[in-house]
Amino acid sequence: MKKLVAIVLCLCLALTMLTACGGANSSSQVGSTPTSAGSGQTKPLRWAIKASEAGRQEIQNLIDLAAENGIQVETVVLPDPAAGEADKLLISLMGGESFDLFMTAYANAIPYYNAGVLEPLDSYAEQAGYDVEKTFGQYPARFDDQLYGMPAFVDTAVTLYNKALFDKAGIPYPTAENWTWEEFIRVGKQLTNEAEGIYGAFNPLWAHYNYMYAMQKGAEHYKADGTSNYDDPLFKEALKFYYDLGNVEHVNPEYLVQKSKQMPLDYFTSGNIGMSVAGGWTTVWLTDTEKYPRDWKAGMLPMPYPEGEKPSTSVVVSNFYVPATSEQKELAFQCAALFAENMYLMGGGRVPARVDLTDEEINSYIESSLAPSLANDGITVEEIRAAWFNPEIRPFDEKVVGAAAADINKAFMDEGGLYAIGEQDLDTTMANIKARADKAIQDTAEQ
Amino acid sequence: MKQLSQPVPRLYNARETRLAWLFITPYLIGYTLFHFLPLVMSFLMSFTNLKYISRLDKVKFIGLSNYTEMFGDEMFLGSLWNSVLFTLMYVPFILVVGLALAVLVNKKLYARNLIRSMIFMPYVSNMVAVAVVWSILLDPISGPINMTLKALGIADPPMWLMSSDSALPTVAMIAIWQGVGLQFITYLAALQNVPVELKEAASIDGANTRQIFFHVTLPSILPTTFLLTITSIIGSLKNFTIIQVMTAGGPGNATTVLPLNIINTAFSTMRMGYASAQAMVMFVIVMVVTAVQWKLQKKYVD
Repeated sequence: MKKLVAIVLCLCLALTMLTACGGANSSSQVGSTPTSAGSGQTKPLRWAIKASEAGRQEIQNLIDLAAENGIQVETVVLPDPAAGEADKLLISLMGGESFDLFMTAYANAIPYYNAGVLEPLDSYAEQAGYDVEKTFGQYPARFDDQLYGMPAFVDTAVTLYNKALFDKAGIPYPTAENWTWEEFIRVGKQLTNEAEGIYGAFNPLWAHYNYMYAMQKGAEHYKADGTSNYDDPLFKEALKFYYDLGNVEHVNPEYLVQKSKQMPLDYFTSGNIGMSVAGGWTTVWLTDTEKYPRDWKAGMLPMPYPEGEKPSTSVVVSNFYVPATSEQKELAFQCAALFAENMYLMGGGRVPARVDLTDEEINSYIESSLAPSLANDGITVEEIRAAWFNPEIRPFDEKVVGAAAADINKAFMDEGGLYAIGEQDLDTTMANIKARADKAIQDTAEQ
Repeated sequence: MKQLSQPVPRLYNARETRLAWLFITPYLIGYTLFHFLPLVMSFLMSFTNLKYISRLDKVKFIGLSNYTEMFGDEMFLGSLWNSVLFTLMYVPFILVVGLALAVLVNKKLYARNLIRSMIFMPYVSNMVAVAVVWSILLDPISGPINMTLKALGIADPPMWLMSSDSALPTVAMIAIWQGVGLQFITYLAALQNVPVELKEAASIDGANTRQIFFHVTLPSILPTTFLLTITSIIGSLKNFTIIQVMTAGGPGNATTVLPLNIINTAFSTMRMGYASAQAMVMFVIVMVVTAVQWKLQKKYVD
């Protein structure tokens, strides 16, 4: 009896330990339509999605679309990697686990490419006679001139504004025409009433705001010799511009206020913020009234641009990738192409990455899909078109895309923060950013 | 008779031994898998250029390069210095405050049990909740502490977590507040074990309260002090959570301590080899500090 109890206790201990080693993946068979005859598919494609994407209707719709086209797909849900955390999908792929499909932003795919876990897709496109450029223009993800990604959508930055605060301040709603940063500041100052906790604008403390203004003026992150370009005066101007919005112009909350109060990134939804300039995904704050209930209406504009420059906006292109560990690469490519072409039609309010759509198709899409979800706010088809489908607006990468991107963003946050609290002058700040960026680039090259 | 009785204890011992192994095997497996093997792997990785996102066939043995690089790396040296500063601020204060509180509560005191619970409560509180509460209290612009200081006539109160000069001492202060419960409770147990006869004898010999405390009580609790010093130093050098949740190493890198720098190196810049080398240096520092203290303990306590 004593021996039995001892063995049971030991087994319990061992089981507890092994349970702690268990994975958190959850897999679900969501495709309902069976594989069409002749596709030769022996098992479903494994599509790795993030936990934050699980349960979205557009994911389900895509899987149903695949099923209608004879491709069976199942999702494998993986945890979202937070900043500074290891990406479980990347680790799994490096460990040889088989996945057939995943979607991520271009900048996030660079580590995957460096790790050698992405399958080049040129040969599959050629074999299928698929003209990628004709359909997607310059949006497909390429590394070393090879095709690796099929672009699903382009997240294009927008300005959201709170109409109630404009009404309260007696200011007419702004329009897309001549929507410059200078106009943004002028309007923002009129909206700000710090005594009541109302600010003209709120832009979270994100790294890309530090250099956004420079990118809009045509700056590049890297010089031709591969070193960083942060001694370009445009970056100095951009950094000053961003922190001045709060500390000098008082359009944004001051840096210290944002930092000490730990204002969340969706602080615009509090109703105390006049305007927000961020990725197009932030329109979910308007459409998801269950999560963000409000009694005021919002408007939508393109991203502001520097006066005297041509209009421009930051974009993040998300692509579908086929991992090198895929056991059904050809089929996975077909599925990636199918998803990339149609994702914008799946009800997620996406801006398509397709350049082959006619004006009629775009109008029809806006009217049937985008406008209804924003109609409650009185946002018109023209306003959506002006923000997201204006070919006159020059797109630029929101994030640093290149060597040592993570280190560069951290350098901007660290050094920019010291400048913002007055502990470091602007010249020292830029010199430190340049030095840190160059060292990180050199380290990366040596690696 | 003797010959018959001899095998019994042997059998008994063998069964006991088997049972003992059975019980410790799960722990040994866990220790080997999650502590020993990672330690060995980390040691081996510290001699490579491994990035966790690089192709494994590109991993090279680079000798002591990671170790030599550290001496010219401002981030590493800065974080090491911050760790030392944090330890210097944290360890003496937490020991003194813990002892002082234990001495106070060891006396007959009104609501002693309640006070004891209140002192220990932060120790078992959720670190994130603690961080949120302190962030609100220490808000330099509209937090209650600075508002009070301003009301008292201090025009320029400290910036607490928002200034490079005050952030590390502030985090150390919060860490002391949060962790002092363990020191307090351990000291309290030690104080209650100091023989009363010794104090009485000293008193009869004419010693006053202060002399009794410094010449009788303190030497009696020296083993506890050594133990707490070792654990506090190790804890402060390994400190990561409180800094991550309160400042994330900022402003700038003013509170980036060594463990935080190791995490950043490994998972932000993805240099696992270099991060492993830093972890090895930290391991050696902790080992040396522990060994020195162990020697001192043997000399002064045993």
